[in-house]
Amino acid sequence: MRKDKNTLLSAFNTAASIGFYLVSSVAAGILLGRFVDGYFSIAPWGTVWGIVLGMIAGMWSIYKKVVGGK
Amino acid sequence: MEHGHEIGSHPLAHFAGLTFNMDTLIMTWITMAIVIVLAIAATRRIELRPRGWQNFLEMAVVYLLEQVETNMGPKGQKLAPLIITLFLFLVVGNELGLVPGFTSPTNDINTTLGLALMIVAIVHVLGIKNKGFTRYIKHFFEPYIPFVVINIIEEVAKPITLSFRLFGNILAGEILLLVLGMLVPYFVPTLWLAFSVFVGIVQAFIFTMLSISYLSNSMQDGH
Repeated sequence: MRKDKNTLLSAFNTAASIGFYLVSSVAAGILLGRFVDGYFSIAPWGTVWGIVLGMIAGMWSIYKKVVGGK
Repeated sequence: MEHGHEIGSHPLAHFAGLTFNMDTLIMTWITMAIVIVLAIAATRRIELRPRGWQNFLEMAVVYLLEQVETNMGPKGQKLAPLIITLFLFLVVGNELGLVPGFTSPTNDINTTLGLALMIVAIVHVLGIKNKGFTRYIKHFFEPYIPFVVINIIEEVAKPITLSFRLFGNILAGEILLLVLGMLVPYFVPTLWLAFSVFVGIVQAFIFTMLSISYLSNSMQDGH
């Protein structure tokens, strides 16, 4: 079949998208953190924890993408 | 180069309390029209041995159908028209910006974020439909309960990754084309133009493939 071509394309796909997982998770963390800051008025702790959790989430999604087989 | 062409700023129109980026709107319509014309031209006289447009479209459609089939299984067939239309829209939209006088609808974050939100909304609706509400909620707490925060951040990050990658690549490509045109005219911009054609196809492909992989996660009812 065209298995080789598919593997190459999906590898290319993974390589092209993996950096974005890290960045966008941090961005999402900041977004949620700022919302929490505004809602509970606890600035800057929401943003700080948002960034930290965003970094962890980014690593986690890369781990799942790389090790999880798909 | 004249100062006539500005990328990143849009002519605005106000209507019923809403603001519209007119260039994006018009380019989106043009893209839609081109996609419709392409599809009609390719299917009007179908031949067993494809020629011209039919050949090109058949290649794209067959490849995407194969991807849908392997990733989502027979259940995914229902979503195949959506995936194929998405790919055609993105390819035509990305390449439209390389034609002088036109801009890409995808160099506006509103277009790409809209498309990404549509995909994410479908992912969640299909997730609830296929897994049932309790199992859908439960998968946020996997593998351990504290992971709920991380899983929610991951879900919020999905539309951000999808939209910003496409938007950033296309906008940066068009800006660089203008800057190169001013700095080193003729030869270097031509090379970059050729590369941008490639980038446009690759970005449309990546957006479509990621959509397929997000959708296939919500289609699986096992584990």
